[in-house]
Amino acid sequence: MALARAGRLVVTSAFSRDQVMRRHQIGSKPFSRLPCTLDDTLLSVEPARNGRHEYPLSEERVVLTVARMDSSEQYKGHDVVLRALPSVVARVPNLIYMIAGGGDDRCRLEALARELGVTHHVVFAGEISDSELSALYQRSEIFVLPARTVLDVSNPKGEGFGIVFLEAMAFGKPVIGPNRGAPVEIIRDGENGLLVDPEDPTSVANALVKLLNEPETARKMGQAGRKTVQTRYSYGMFRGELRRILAESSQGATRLQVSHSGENDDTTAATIISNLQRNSEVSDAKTIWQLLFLLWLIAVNVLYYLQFRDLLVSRVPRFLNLWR
Amino acid sequence: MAIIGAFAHLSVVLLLACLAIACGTRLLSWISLSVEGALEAALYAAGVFFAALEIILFLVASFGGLRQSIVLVVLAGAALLAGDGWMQLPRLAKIFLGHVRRAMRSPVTCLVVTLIPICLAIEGLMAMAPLTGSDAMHYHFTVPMLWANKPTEPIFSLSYSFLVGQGHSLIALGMALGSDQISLGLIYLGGILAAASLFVLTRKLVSSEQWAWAAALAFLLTPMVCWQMSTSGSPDIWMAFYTTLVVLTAARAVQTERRDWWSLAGIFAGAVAGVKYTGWIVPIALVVCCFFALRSWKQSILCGLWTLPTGILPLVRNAEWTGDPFFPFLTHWLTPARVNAFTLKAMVANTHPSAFDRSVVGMISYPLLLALKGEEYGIGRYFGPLVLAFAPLLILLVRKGPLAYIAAGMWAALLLSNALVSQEARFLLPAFPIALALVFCGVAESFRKGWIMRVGCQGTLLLFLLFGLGSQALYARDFIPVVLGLERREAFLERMAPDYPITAFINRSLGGKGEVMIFFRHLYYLRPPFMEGRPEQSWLMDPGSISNSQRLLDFLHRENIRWIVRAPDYPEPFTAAFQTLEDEGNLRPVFSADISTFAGFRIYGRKTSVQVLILEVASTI
Repeated sequence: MALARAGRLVVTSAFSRDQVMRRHQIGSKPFSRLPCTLDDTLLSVEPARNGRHEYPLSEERVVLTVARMDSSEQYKGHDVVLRALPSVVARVPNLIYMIAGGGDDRCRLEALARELGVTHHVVFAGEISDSELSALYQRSEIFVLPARTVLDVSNPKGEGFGIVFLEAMAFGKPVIGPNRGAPVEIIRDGENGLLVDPEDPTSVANALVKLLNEPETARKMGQAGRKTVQTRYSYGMFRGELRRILAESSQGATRLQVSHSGENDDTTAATIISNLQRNSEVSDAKTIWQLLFLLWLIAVNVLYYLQFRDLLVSRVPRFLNLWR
Repeated sequence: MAIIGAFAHLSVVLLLACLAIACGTRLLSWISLSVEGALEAALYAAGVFFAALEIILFLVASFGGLRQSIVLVVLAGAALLAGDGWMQLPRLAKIFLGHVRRAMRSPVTCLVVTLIPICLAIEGLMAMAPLTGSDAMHYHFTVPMLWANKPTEPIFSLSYSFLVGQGHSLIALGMALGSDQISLGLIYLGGILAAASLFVLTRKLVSSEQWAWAAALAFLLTPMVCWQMSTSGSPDIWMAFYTTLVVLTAARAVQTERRDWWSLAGIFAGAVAGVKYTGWIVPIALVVCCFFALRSWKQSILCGLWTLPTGILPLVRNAEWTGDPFFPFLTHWLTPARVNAFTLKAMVANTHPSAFDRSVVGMISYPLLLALKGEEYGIGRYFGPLVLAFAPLLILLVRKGPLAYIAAGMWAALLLSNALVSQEARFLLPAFPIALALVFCGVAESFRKGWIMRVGCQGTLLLFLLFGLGSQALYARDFIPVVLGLERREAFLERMAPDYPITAFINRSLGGKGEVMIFFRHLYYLRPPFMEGRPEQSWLMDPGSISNSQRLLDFLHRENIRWIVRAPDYPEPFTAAFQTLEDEGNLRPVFSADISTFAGFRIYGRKTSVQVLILEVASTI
């Protein structure tokens, strides 16, 4: 309904656009692509001095995944990394795989780690603060998230954008991502990261071993990643692009729907729909609520400050007199 | 000279703050509790240190009196114990300066961050003025002063002495170190720590330092806070600090699933209760919160037990002296034979404002009116309008996580208990930083909701900023000259301290010769040994037992009262008896004077002339 009313759709990736078009058959609508930008407050957060990032010893080599572990989001690919781990550990024995994020799928993954015999190489850090996250990114060598993409029209799954890749790149870390879905638009294989088959643990293992055994390559990829964020995903770029889209939209007198599918998106289509709350009726209702709130503020302020009129009358002249 | 003295006293307070962080850090490291944020860690360290220090000082004071030599030994021991905790201080300073530097990048935040030290400087100077706070001159400072000499004797003639808690140990500490200015400085330090804990709480809720700075400034500019941390002489502001720490540590306990954090939260909750009876709602709320988080009564009770060391000592003392740990409020049930019905009724009435109404309408309207009709609700208007004005924005905090839920729960518990029990708005001070942090979180969210919200919030904040600065300047004007040495101490006290002119007259007239009965409230500067004669304050003056002039005379003889000061008048239930004693010649006028003193609240500046008559009791002539 809302999609049908929108004059223009804004998506975060070409992959998202294709999914929306396929699922909702709205190929005639104009689309604009507006990739997510990175909230650089994470970079300015003081890294945690103590906490989960300190679990690994200094000589241990840390591979990091930052993603929820919800049973509804098993496509994130934690299990693929876990399955790749025995082969990686055989070649890099001091490896620690850290998983930041909470969720109800944690028990399943812990059981899988036990089953694979890699419990001592896996740390489930749980939900963490920004400062802990910052410290974890700094402590890690490689970021990995081989998220699967399920192109099921009724219930598609996959990364709508993959903002965690931008975060890792901003911290100068090489990334390993899936060779399909939206992350392909961020990661340039061999340049700022490696693309792997998200269904194939061997592919993930080979990529991990390559980056762990070739630190110079990993460092260069990290630097390239940081440059990618600075040049293609900066806030300035985002703002300029958004302004351009808004200008185009107002010229064409179209109704704008901005879809920001970031790290929380299950599917691009679902994201588009959830973001379509900014239709005109909702806006009108919001404006009314905002005006009511404004009236409330005015009433409170007037009633509050009126209480002090007697005090001001008695104190201010004395105050002025005393300062002379 | 006065300004040098002020800086010297503030330096001692700064030194104690450094000692608290260094030693507290060491104590926390022993229980393996580490925190990633240096500022947050420093606050926990200071909280643990002062809570522990209060226990030690309370015990020392209770058994042998708090002498300077003992205090110095305790502090020296703490300094040695701190060990490598001292190394934290340069790191903390560096990190704090980093916060400031980051804040300076934005012009608005730069303005806010510039105003904070100005505000703190004004409040710090005000705190160094001689004590003039009404409650402080009645009992907060008077009782520690009296107990310094006779620590094991209950003061039944001053019923409020039983409300003195562990938090008052810091006042006693300052006095033992040689100056009540240090005591006032320690109260001021409590305000700074409360502001810092509000900063940390807001930053965690909003993930933005800009809003955290703004919340801290709003806190410091709030007239209630300014008064409490500078001139009130009441340790209540420490409750605000400890309560905020309870929220922060409880949230950590939930997030990290470590039970040690619940224990620490219990220690801080006990420290809140240790300052004042009304603070016991915090441990109760914490235990409920712990139960909801862990679903275990055993763990919740364990958490509750941790509140006892830091909170229970005043209750044990009261129970030993009177049989009622919450003396005198449970005396009716626990020791009915010892009840002074008149005094009890007066004390209970004194904890209720004129508008107290426990009906449904009263309960609902109280949160709305406590700031708007503050005169009728325990000077609630001095909390400012921000919490009420931004309260609708709390709806934006849904799904903000455990920290927001715990903060909101604690705030709700304190507000509800306050509405039920007293409706004295000033008792809500412990919840104020939490309330401010939550509403500022709502404001931060609202800024993303459109320009109408933004303009409304900005206007309200700006208005309050101007009001806060203006009222602080107005208020400070009366106190700064004496600190700068532009006004003599004596002249300042004559001008600003309620009942001081009467006290000075008594001191001049009587010196230290014999015990005196007085009928006014502000006792701190009184030098002769004294007894409160107003039955609404003195448990000894029971109109039920002292029912005629002969019994009154017997009572005066039994208590070795040599002088009676009739100022302003005899208390109502005893007027006839005293008058009869005068007529019979059992009370003989000796000294008399007409003295100008405050009529009603000092803030209105109204003065009246009172005839002070000192009479000598017959049998001692």
